[in-house]
Amino acid sequence: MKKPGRAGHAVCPRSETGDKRIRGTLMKRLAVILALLAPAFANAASPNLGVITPRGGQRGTEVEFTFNGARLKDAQEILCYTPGCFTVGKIEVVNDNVVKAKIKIAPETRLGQHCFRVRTATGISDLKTLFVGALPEVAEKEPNNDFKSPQKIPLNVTVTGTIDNEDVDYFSVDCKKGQRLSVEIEGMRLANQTVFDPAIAILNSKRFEIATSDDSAFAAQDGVMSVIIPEDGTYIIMVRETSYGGNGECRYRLHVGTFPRPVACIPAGGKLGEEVEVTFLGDAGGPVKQKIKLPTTLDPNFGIFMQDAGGISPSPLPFRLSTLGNYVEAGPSELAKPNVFDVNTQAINGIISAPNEHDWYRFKATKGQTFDVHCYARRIRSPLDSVMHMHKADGGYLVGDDDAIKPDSYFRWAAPADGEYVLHLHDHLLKGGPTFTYRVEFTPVVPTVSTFFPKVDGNNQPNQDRQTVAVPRGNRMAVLTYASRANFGGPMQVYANGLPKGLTLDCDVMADNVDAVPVVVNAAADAPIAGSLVDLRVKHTDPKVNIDGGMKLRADLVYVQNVGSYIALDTYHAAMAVTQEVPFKVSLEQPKAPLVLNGATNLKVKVERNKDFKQPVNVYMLWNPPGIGSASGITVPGDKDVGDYPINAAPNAPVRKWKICVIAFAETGFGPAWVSSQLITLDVGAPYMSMSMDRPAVEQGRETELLCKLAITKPFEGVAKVHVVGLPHNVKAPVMDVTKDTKEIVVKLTTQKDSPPGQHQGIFAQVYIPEQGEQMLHQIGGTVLRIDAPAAPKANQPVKVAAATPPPAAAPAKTEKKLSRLEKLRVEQAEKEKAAAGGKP
Amino acid sequence: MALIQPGTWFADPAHFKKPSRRSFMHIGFLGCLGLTLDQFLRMQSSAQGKDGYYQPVSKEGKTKSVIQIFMPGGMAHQESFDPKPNAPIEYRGEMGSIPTKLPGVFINSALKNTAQVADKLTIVRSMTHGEAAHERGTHNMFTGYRPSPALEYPSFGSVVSHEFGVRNNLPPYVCIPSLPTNYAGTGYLSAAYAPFSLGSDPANGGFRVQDLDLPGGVDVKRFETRRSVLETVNAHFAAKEKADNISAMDTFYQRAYGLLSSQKAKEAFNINAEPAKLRDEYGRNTAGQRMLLARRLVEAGVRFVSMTYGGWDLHNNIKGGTEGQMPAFDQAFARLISDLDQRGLLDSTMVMVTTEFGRTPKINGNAGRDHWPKVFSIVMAGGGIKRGSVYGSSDSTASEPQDDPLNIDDWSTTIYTLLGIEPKKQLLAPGSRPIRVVDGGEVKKELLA
Repeated sequence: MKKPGRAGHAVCPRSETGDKRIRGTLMKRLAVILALLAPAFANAASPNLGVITPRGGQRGTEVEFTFNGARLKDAQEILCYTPGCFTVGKIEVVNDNVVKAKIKIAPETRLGQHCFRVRTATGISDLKTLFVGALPEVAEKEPNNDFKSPQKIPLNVTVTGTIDNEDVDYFSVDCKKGQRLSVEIEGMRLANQTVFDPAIAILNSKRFEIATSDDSAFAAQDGVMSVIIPEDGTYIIMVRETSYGGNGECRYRLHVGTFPRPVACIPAGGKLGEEVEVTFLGDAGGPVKQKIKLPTTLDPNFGIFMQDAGGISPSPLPFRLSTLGNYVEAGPSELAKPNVFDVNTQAINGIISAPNEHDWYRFKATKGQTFDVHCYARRIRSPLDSVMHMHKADGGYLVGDDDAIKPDSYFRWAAPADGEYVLHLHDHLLKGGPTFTYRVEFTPVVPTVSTFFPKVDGNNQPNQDRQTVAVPRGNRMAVLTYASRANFGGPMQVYANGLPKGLTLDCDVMADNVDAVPVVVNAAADAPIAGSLVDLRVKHTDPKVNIDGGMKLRADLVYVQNVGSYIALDTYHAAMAVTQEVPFKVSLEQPKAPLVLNGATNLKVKVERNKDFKQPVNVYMLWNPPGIGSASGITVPGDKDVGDYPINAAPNAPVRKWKICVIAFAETGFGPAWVSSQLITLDVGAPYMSMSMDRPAVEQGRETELLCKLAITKPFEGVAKVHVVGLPHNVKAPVMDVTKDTKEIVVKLTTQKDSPPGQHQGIFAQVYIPEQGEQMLHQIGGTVLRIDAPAAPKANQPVKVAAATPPPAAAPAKTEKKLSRLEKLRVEQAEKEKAAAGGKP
Repeated sequence: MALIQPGTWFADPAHFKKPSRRSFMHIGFLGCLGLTLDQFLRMQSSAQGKDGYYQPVSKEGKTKSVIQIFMPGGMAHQESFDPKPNAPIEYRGEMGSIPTKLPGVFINSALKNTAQVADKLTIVRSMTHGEAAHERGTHNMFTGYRPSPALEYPSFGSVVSHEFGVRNNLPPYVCIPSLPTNYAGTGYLSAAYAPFSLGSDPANGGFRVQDLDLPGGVDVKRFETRRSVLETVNAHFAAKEKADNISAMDTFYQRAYGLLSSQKAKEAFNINAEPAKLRDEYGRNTAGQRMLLARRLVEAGVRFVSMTYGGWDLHNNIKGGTEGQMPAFDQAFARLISDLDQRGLLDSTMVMVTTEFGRTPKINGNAGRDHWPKVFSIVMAGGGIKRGSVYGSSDSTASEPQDDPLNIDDWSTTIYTLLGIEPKKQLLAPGSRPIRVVDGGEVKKELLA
């Protein structure tokens, strides 16, 4: 039985500077990965969204987008993650794999990436992106592969094109001397269904390069260029894949115009709600100061745009929103003359403006103050690879870091005493330049929490399977919900704001020693079929402790196996929907007896089917609590309505109660439909008895006794059955009865002449103890049975027939006291010595 | 103290032996040869011994031929020959086990035919090595050596080819359908001992071994003319250059001529000559037809046949993967064993079912198992291997060897000994570097009939 999985996307790890060593092999790797993942598509959960085309549009216009995927024929809604910006018209279903919709993009829509899902009547697709630009769009027209006959385009347009294998696209623009010409390409960032690493260049009509950009710290694998045109004329813009690869999926959006294209800014952050004067760096026109009004609420994806008479930058510069004011580096500093800032109210903003530059900052701290000290450099797309050190102002090294947040620096630091301290910062390779900006924030250590849905296929990182919640009407679906606690511990409660009408959550408190809890989402029978982006949250159960956090769900959009993610994005809502009815339900029968440590049981899974529905139902445990093991899945065949789900408890599992459930899918004609059972209580209990077993030894063909001493730790009613298991071939033991008053039992082990000689390990007892009409399986005891071949008589000794084949069990029957192993060995040894002496004294 | 790495100079105890009285004799007596007396006497007994290397002539042992069935990817011991029905569900997995003809011995429920021939097999449940990467585990199981960055070791098949050469005009070492891994090659030995790869799967309808027949339009006379022209050219090169690839190519030509000129030899590759009923009994699939052809080749005189079956790297859904692949293997393998036995070939043909490693004791989150070389199972039969036996055991969760761990050195020493190749024999790597066939190890007598 195979769980339906869904293949991921084109994949390639994000290398901050575009690692050329691996780039050449990306295409080949991708082909391999897609080939490997291809079979998974066949079993994909419905619906699946592959790519949205075109990959973007101009704001203020209406664009018809095509949503390509699978099982989309019952599409009902496009879920947008940016409220108020996209007005979706009628959805036109072309076929099961393609739907189209006209979308109006509001004029004030933020430029850059936006996230979408398709909601169908039966599910929610994975998350995909679209890009919004400010410029009118022009489609690439082939042939444009000859430098001498490029495609002529006006300035200030966005060209949408595709790079095929060995394809080089040329575009020409007419420019005036002194004019700014900026070019930015979105290629890798578009998260195409392949790995596309573009390279761009501006050439003059004599084919001399004015500027080139393969990769950039600002845009990673994508290129950006901004130049001042040296003389009037026609200029050629070249686009290709960096190693002349390409295929039909290598789509790009090329912004060409007079817009400003800074690649850094200082300060790179500011206080919420304030107006901040920001200096944009890296544009061909030189540094420009502009005032930016900041929002009043935190937004981890916030970015700023430079805008002037030439236009607006096509993509944002990351900008930190914080509660701290700004300290902007005053100028060059040294250990003896550091900059001075207030660590409690200000964040440092600086530039390593030249090679070999070191920046120094002095501040006061009081004993016991503990800070998380983050250097934001690559995280704000700066080329700086920071190294950060902390010293006492009067000498003495305290702490330092290079790459804790790869490649940014971070450490947690507690001031050892009241006094002055110095922060020292430089580039790892002592590089520097006018855009090597950084921002250092000292923040107190605060408890934080966020929640997420895990990847269900650990071997397929980019998959987004079951990271949405689609609940059939009148049914249930469960999702394992994790909490990432930082700087605190304690029990958490999952809750939600904005659930679609008719959905309710059912979940236990997340215990303080676990980071996950099953959440069952119930859909009322009359719930309208609809979906929404839900603010799913976790909070500390103690209302006095104000710890509360929302969702942070990562989607790996471009990922290469064994290397990592090139394009990943975080979203902050859970996509949930009520879907149309499915013809089956599952439920779990609540066990009455506890599952004891080192014990095992079968959970009863009940399947309720519509009359005509005969598909097999595949059932999985959503979550095994700590110390609990279970089968990886069972199938309840089409003609059955009950299944046994094996589950067991480790000897060291915590003794407590958990809430658990199972999830299940069946093929319903729209792809696999998922439902869940209700939550039941799994009571993990201490064993009712323990057992110590003697170590028996026996000759082949004889009998021996296995002495088992019982310690009843919880009295029980009735008679328990003891089965000795793990016995070697042709060794038999009877089933024994025990009660709460039994202290010991003697199990007769009968061997045959062909019972295998040797030390036989792994022998233990399975004890079935009755409890409330159920049988609790205890697996206790444990011993080794030694079987010996009969000793061969010595050549000069007459064989004692009577001694060699005594009547079975005759000897033990006479023994009133049960002999321990040691005592038996002594008796055996005495007999052997007696036999060896041949009766002589 | 650092652990001594096997295969290094330090690992050879001879380098640290206290000189015995006998050893000193060479100072006065045989010093000019640089040999001790015992070395000298050993050399005397060795027809090929030179420069003091220990090179006894190999003489065919009990094992005349080998069929090596390799299960690439790492076949789970739990889901094949070492089920643990009493272990917790997350260890034992979801597949059942069935009794075999060996009293008290259970194997995976998908091996129902194999269970009926278990009395002809030795199941090894305590194979162990430390290599959890596919290529390294595969290297161990094909060469008997841990991989070394300094030297490429020859495969069992190439050593057999080197030691015994051609029989009945047939290549001594054949791979079905093709070289399964680079480690199945010649290593430091001359390319002349490389396997002959069929290049086509006998399970395919149009199966035809490449290069066995003269090209269309070329008759025997024309072929002889071509051959003499080629030999003239080659003689020139051979006189000018001394290179392994020239002599290896010459060896190849000679063998190819032998094969092309012998109808009987060519017929060995003709799987269509097998009765349809028998082909059905083996199974009309890759497992069945590869094993049937292996038997046919061995019967005709091929010394070492290496074949692969399936893909066992089941990180996901091990139950489904096993259920999908094991029945074909089971049908073919059981029929191969009984077929060999019925033809009286089993006592001279060693059949090995091997894999690069086992799989993790616990089922993972994707209902599969991951790599686990600490303990795993292989099966051996025939050619002097004991009939109806289980060698070694793993512990209660199939995590570690419990009894009689079988390491690579001991395993390969046992195989070479049965083949009649002295495991301590020194083969010459480039630069006249003597390398033992097996570095250490002892014959595990409990494996032998």
